[in-house]
Amino acid sequence: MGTVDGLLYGFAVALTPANLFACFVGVIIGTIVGILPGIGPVGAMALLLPSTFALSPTTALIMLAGIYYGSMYGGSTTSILVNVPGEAASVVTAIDGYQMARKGRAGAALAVSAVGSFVAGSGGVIGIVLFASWLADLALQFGPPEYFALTVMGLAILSRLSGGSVLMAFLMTGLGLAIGTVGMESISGVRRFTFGSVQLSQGIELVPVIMGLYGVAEVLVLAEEGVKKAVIEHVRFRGLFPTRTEWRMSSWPIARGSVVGFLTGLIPGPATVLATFISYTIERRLSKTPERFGTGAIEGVAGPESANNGATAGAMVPLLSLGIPFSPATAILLGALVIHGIQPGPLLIANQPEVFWGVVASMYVGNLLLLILNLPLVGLFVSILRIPQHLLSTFVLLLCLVGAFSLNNSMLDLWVLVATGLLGYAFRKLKIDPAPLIVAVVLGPIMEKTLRQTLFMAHGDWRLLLLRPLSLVLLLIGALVLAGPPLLAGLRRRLAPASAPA
Amino acid sequence: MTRRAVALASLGASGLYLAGAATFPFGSSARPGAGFFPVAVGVLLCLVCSVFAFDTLRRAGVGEAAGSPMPADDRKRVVATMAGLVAFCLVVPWVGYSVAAALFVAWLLRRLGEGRWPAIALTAVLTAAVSYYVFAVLLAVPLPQSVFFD
Repeated sequence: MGTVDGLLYGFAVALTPANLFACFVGVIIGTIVGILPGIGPVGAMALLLPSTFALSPTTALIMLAGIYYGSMYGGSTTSILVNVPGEAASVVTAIDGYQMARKGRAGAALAVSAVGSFVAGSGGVIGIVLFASWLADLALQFGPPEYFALTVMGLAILSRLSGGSVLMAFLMTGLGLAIGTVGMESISGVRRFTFGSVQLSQGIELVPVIMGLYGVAEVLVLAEEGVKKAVIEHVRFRGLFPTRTEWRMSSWPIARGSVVGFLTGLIPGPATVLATFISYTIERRLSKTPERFGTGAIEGVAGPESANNGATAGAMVPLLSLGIPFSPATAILLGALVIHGIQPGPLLIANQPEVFWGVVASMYVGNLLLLILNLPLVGLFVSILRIPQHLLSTFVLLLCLVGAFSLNNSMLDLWVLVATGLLGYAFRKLKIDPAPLIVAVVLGPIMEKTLRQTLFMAHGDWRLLLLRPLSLVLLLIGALVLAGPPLLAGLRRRLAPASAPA
Repeated sequence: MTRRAVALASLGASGLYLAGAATFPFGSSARPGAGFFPVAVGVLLCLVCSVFAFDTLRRAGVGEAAGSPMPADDRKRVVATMAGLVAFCLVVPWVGYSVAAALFVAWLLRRLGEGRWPAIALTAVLTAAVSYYVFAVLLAVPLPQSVFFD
């Protein structure tokens, strides 16, 4: 199936009533999740995963993906109007967005961010089509050594780019890999770390771990902070139109943010957050009046808001083409694929075209829905913030409990949820990012399987990893990302005294 | 102090993990067994945790600002939330989802908010009933049943 035929087929799939409704529900939930501090897109996707069991795989994926990119729209609303970013990818938007709101330009900021998100999301769909097809073709040449090298590279980059120190990121990666080894080993059937428990033989489920680390931990943090009331800026619909100058000033930042966001999304790590910071820095550097940034520069809203939406599209590429998730959100999407009996990987496009093209086309449809819905309904969405925090926290916890239990009807999953919730809270207090842990839980079993296959193939000769060009390149990239910055810093320190004037 | 405790606990846990991993068949490079990868992960964890512990102990007392203790009210809310979760997990196999959910909601609303008991009780019962209907009936999600009412 060619690209154009594929996309047309995808639209036919995405526009069926059931899928259109799932997309609508997904983007609405995503918007609400983006608005509410307390539960981010990852937690919400994990929470709603069990409720998609009754849906077809394509419909389930469309809904979950809708939550993911829909949350980027919602996050900008509260950043601009309340100075409270609903999720991390909207933190940068608050810098200039809230200042614009204070100057009476909240409507313009919201409109530019919605249009920017739409442009980036739509452009991202084209990017997915081009990159994912190409990467899937390339991945057909991958053998176990390449897949092993890819997982090593992914975890190395993730460790470098995650928030906090590299040491802590390594610790999280190691913990995730260790969790991934629990259960019955797939080749010889040996039970590892099960302590005689039949339930543990199936391994530790990813979803309760994510719910605990992101959902329960966030509620514990909110419980600690106590009751807070948000002060909300009032926005009228007729005030939503930016001036011609504002449009002109936003157009290039939107274009640049879309490209930067998409490319950042391809890299393992907290892509949506990173993309906003990169875009903001680029716009400030390129601006002839950088001093306006921080005081209500519309470019500071347009660029980052486009970038975070572009990044959600970019992050779908490795998932859909390689079957490898490089972020917690795409790890859940992978989990959904597996639960629904879909084999992720480079053959997904050929074997399950309705899933691949349907999800890709639904992202365009979803972005259009978000553009249409978000601006007129901004007042309604923001009023969600008036729901008392303790009520919201209670409901989120109840949803977590129901979601965790319903995965396997297992009490073990409930206890995993509670334990990881406490662990996640401790991580927050210690300022440790749990993202590498989540990704390592998913990549660990793939890593182990491909490593053992590689060693079987090579009769124990590790050099095979270095003799195959693709795996060598991937390992070198990983090593460079890890060792590059400290080596460069050391080099600079050495050169500094020599070049300093006497 | 907290960081030091975490560092030492991590080191201990990673040592235990490695010891556990070493009990599985290791195999060889040419035919790696079930313990091959866990041992590698265990060694990595022990190395990382050793560096972490060494780094934390070396820095102990040097420019380490004593973090301000959490106010008692804040701590109470966190403990109450965790207690609610643990209690839910303990009682749900016995009393089933509906009763456990109602008790859980009532407990949290009382501890985290400032509402009165009649309003809290009504919200708790309604939440349990509506969530049961949505998940168990509409979405056919299996929920824990009571051992007494089966």
